[in-house]
Amino acid sequence: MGRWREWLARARSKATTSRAWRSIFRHGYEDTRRNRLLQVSSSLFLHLHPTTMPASGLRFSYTWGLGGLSFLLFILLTLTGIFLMFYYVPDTRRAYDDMKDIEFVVPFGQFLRNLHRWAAHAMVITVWLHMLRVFLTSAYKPPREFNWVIGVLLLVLTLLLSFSGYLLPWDQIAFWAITVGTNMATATPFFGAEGPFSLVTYDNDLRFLILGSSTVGQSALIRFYVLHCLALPLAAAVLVGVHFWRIRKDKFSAAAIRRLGGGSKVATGMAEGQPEDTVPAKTAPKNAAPAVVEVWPHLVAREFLALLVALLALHVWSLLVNAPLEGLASATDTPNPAKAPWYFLGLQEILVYFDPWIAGVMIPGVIIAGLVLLPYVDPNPLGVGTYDLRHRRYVSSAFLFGFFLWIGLIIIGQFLRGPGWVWYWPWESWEVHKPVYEKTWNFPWPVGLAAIATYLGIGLYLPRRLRPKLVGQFSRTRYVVLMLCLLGMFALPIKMLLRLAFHVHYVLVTPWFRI
Amino acid sequence: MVDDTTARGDLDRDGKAPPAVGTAGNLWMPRRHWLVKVTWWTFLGSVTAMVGASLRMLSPRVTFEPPPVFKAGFPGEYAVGEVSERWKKKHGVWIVRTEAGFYSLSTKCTHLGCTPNWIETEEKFKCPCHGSGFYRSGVNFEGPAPRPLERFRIALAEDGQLLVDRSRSYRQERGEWNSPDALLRI
Amino acid sequence: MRPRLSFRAWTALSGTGLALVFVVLVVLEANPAWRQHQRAFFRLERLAAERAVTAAEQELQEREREVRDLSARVRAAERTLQGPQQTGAYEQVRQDVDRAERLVSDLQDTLQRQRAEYQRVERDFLLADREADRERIRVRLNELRGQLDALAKERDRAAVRRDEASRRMRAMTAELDAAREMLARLQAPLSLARADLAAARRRQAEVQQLLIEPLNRVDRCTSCHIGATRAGFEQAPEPLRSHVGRYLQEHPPERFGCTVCHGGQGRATRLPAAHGQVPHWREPLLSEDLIGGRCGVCHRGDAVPGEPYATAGRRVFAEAGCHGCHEVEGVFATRIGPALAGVGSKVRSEWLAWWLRDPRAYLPRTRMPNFLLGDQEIADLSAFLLSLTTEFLSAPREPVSQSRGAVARGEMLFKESRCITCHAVRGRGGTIGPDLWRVASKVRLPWLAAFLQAPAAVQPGTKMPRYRFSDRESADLVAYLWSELRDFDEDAWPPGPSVPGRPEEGRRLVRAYGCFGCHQMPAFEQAGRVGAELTGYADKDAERLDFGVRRDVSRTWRAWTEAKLREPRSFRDGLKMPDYGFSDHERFSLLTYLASLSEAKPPAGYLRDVPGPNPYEPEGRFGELVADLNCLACHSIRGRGGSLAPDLTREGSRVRPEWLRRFLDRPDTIRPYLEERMPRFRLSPEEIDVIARYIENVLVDPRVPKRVLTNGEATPALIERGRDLYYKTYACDACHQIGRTGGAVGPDLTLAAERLTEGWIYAWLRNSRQLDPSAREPVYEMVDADARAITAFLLSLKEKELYSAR
Repeated sequence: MGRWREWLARARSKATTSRAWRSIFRHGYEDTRRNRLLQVSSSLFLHLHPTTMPASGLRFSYTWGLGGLSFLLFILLTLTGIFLMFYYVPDTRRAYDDMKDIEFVVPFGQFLRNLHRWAAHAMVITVWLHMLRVFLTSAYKPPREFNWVIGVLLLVLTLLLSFSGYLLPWDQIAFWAITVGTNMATATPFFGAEGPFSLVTYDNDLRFLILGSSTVGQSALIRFYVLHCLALPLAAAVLVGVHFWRIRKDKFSAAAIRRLGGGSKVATGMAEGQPEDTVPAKTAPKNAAPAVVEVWPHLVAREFLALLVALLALHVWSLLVNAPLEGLASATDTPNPAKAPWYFLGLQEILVYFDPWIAGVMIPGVIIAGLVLLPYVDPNPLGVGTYDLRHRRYVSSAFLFGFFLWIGLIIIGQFLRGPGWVWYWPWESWEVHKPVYEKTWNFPWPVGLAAIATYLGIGLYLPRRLRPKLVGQFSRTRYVVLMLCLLGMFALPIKMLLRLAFHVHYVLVTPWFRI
Repeated sequence: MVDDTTARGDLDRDGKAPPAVGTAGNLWMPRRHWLVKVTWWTFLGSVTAMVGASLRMLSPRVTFEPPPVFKAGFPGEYAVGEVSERWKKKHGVWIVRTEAGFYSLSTKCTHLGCTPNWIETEEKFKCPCHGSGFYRSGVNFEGPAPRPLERFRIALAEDGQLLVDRSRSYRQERGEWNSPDALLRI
Repeated sequence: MRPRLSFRAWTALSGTGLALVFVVLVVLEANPAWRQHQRAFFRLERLAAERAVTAAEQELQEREREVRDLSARVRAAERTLQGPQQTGAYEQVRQDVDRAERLVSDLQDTLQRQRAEYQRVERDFLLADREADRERIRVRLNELRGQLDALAKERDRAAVRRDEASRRMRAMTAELDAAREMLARLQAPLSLARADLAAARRRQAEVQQLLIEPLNRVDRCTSCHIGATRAGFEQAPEPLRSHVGRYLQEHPPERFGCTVCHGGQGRATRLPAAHGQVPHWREPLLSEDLIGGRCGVCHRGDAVPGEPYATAGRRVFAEAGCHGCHEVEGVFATRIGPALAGVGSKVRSEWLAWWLRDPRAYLPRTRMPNFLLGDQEIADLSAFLLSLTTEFLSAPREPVSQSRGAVARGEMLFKESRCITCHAVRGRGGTIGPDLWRVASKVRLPWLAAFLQAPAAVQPGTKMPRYRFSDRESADLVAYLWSELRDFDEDAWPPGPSVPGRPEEGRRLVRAYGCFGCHQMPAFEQAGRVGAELTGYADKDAERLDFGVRRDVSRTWRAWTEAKLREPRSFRDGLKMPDYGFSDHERFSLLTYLASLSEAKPPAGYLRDVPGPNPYEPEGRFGELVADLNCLACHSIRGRGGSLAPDLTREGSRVRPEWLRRFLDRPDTIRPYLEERMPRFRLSPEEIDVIARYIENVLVDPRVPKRVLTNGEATPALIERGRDLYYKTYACDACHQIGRTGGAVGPDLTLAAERLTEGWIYAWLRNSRQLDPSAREPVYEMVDADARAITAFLLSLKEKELYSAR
């Protein structure tokens, strides 16, 4: 035994002092500050991190590790996706059969597919929550505005990745989700065949461009396959790189700004002349030396723990719950109800209340535009690096209202809509379909016009009247744009109420569009 | 760039106690702690399992090739002395009838797996890839082929048809051609 | 900073959890259900193989003596070969053979080398540019060809020598070879059993799969049901049991797979997915009783051999007239009810009201379903139907007489015409036409008289042949029917509707209920069918079936279909399907048939008995007569017509012209056991001539020879041989009668010679199936000589028995 150990020790020392070893690992493992910094800076993978970071950023309940988890899921999706690609052929005649084969005869196939599907869903959630976190801690404020924009683009890419992957199994749920989803593109103004001011026909509109055909078929499948497996992941990888690079350049998370605050005002991006004491007193002890720690091992260790926990949760879930696969896609039998993937159910619910070009094109467009513009229209520099919302009541309540409205719409779409997209309470059976006859009616156009004008007028006038100081910060244009966005958002639940309670179809009917 | 210079600056000050680090210590250095060992071993085990499962996944359980056993028609459909190319395309087999009986030859050259051609006038199988030549019997006589073509099991099915089983092959150099399954005497 | 231990515990815990997940995953992956089933099966297989080995060993032990004797023979023969007097000779021969063999092989090599040389030169010749070169090479080529021929000859000679040498060698070893072979044959069962056992021990569990490309199916059912395709495991537990019956012999698994008949999810390897009993799988495993429904997907003919329900289902569907309201692709059928043009002149209004209320009350076996009509609807429909009156083409000139004489004459005529053959009276009699009981209370007498004279003209589409009654005769018949076959309890009929009828409403009801689906009706000829199309009905999701208010019906295709057939209108108000009062057997047969209406279109090679189009149309005067007499109601010609009487497609080759003419004049009984008989049509000699000529010249089969026996061939000896073959070798008298002795399954052959042509008898004896695929005659594969002898024998009956009997 002793000799064996001795031999092992000798072999190890021989190996670690060999030229080959040293050519790979350029520094030792002793716990010195030098090595800690080198761990990060000499490793391609770890050096996406800064070498040091503010100690307060380590707190798990500050970041919740959501950005890192999203990245982990992205990597996991890439790997599982590669393995699935070995067995999947994007051919409408066999794609579904390939899915069945993956499920039933490919070793570990079912598990791998579960992992892929659930990781995709989890990634949508973590990206949303990450965004919410960044908003709540004001981490989008200068100098990080642009990284927020990148983040919004990554959000869009995440949803597109999920959506494009949705078609590939070629089952009923895939076929109809994509049919309904792409039909929205038909309603695009100018470029959709059915949109307002249409310039095109069904044979050359936006939907045709997306599908490569006027129906969901072979050409759509191969397009979505290429988008899903190549184009979108590539774009996402590039943007993720930029995103991380920015984080590193901005010294990790926004918490850093305040802690390093004493140093350079330019680096923190705070406006000149901004008094230090506007930072909430509770989390900013004055004159405290900024606590800086090495990323290795402090952050890396925590990231490792987060990785383990996330992997464990995902693997257990994938072991217990199989990814859904419905019947073979059939262009003649629409399932009832035909629901979009859950993250788009909010949109599908909105489609009940508005014409497709508003619900399917304008609203998502305005939401994305609004998110992109958020750091640029929010002039309030307060709240950076903290969950304290007291100093930014208006912005946060508007954002949270929108966020929870979206979640609420999804809950309605997922749990309260049954066959025929009829409202079913959770305790109501779908077994016998509800016979519904809902005769809707429209406002006469003068009334509708007056109602909308009144709504907008009051909406634009009241804040000026009630909070002149706050409004005074904005230029007139900025104010009008911001208020129109907000009023539009508040108009959504109002229209829902009008429809659900009073069966109002349109508030305003014009020859060109209906609202 | 700012980061790099900071880091280098830290390196330059190597040996001196860096500010505000001491309390953290190193979470990973006490490698002998049993919990850390558990972590590493289970993690490495999981990664190994992941890699193993992924590799296993690449080896399919089923293939969509034609079944290895097929019926090749009735013996009367073949003339004595004929090298039949009837099943070459579908099943990769020549069926040869001689005075002695039937045998089925693999159409896979024993050199590197190309498909030779039967040249009637020269009474030989000639591989286009590297010029290997085989007699009617399947025995190699020219070119780089290291051994004769393989023969497959051939028998009579219950309904009197020839039955060829490509899953069982017989090699001349191992003396397996003497097996009754390699030559069907009729 | 958090306490470090807690951090370590977290990582260790989640690491362990992750590792455990992988352990579970690998264990699950390594032990799928199909692997466990296969292991169990291999165990059974091993046991069976071991039993076989033991049995073979025992067998061999019992024959130990023989083995010993044979071994001794082998040894003795070996000794002889190696013995002093033989050794030299045998060695000599063996060397001869070897030498000859080598020589042949060497010559072959040389030949091939020379041949290659020849081909090289030939190539030079082909590539040579200059005429001089070509000439030189041509000379060389000729020279080489000569050498080649010589070499080939030499090789052939060597081969002959080799063959001779080996013959000599074989002669010397003949005794040894024979003994060895006998020994090997004795030991073969054991070595085979041992090989089987070795194979059984070697077997590895793996996914089994049947790839059926033409059907685009991949069936992995045999991964668990691994014994299904193997005989000898009839007693094994499921899922290892052998497939029952002879289904797999007729439907080889490698051509059909499993799911095409059984349903289920072929690609799946786990339960319940494999049995398709999961959401979103359209083809769940069919229960054992319903599986017959799948037969109809390929078997498109009238009958599915061996599957009574599938056969009956198609028949019930056609007979109940389902296609009148429900379209099914590939089912072309005529309307099953009588045409209703002129119905107002045909039936009495009291009867009509009663009939509409409850058809089975008047005629228990009617095909008319009960539409469950209300009073108002009955009144409206009656009013509309009674408005459909017409003038008869040939109204009887004589008024209906009620005299006793007329009735007696009518009764005579009723019997002579054998009306009972087709019509029943109170349930006794034929089933082709309607029951005649109470008929005189149903229809108006003038209509009846007109109908009897010209059935098809008065009631288009009727099966009733035209009997050519005179005016007087039809009046007599009407008198008889009135006196005997009317309802004497007419007062007991339920009262008619109490509300006045509105013809326009009635017309609307006809459209709504789709009466024209079964009845041809004026102004509704082009109306579409009112029921749902049933093509692809078998594939319908339960989700797409409207269960309405029925909560007691489970949400499956089968339960819905059964409920629909049982109580068609119970799902919700406003449904129109009438109540057919199907029996349990009929309902189940229909269910089976409906289960066969799959959208799936099997490739042509899988389809059986596809009904083809019927382009045949009898021509000319013959065609007129056929239409007038309604021959095709019972007979069929070239696939067109009824199946009640013999197919006439080959009648011209079958029967002798003399007999045919006589038969047309006075139809006699041919087969005593059949109830339906050909009616007398009172044909004129000219008409008989037209029909007979057409049959003799057009309805012939080229495969039936005109004459078989040459002049003088029918010698008494041949006839005697034929008699012998008839009674002894083939025992024909088991089924056929000659002169009142013999069975009654086949037709009486006493008159065969008079009736059948000699070519037909001969051809029938040679291969009856060729002439009539549904013939019940056993297939004897009779050789030419036997067939000739029996033909001669049967023909000889003409001269003796037949004419002496007359």
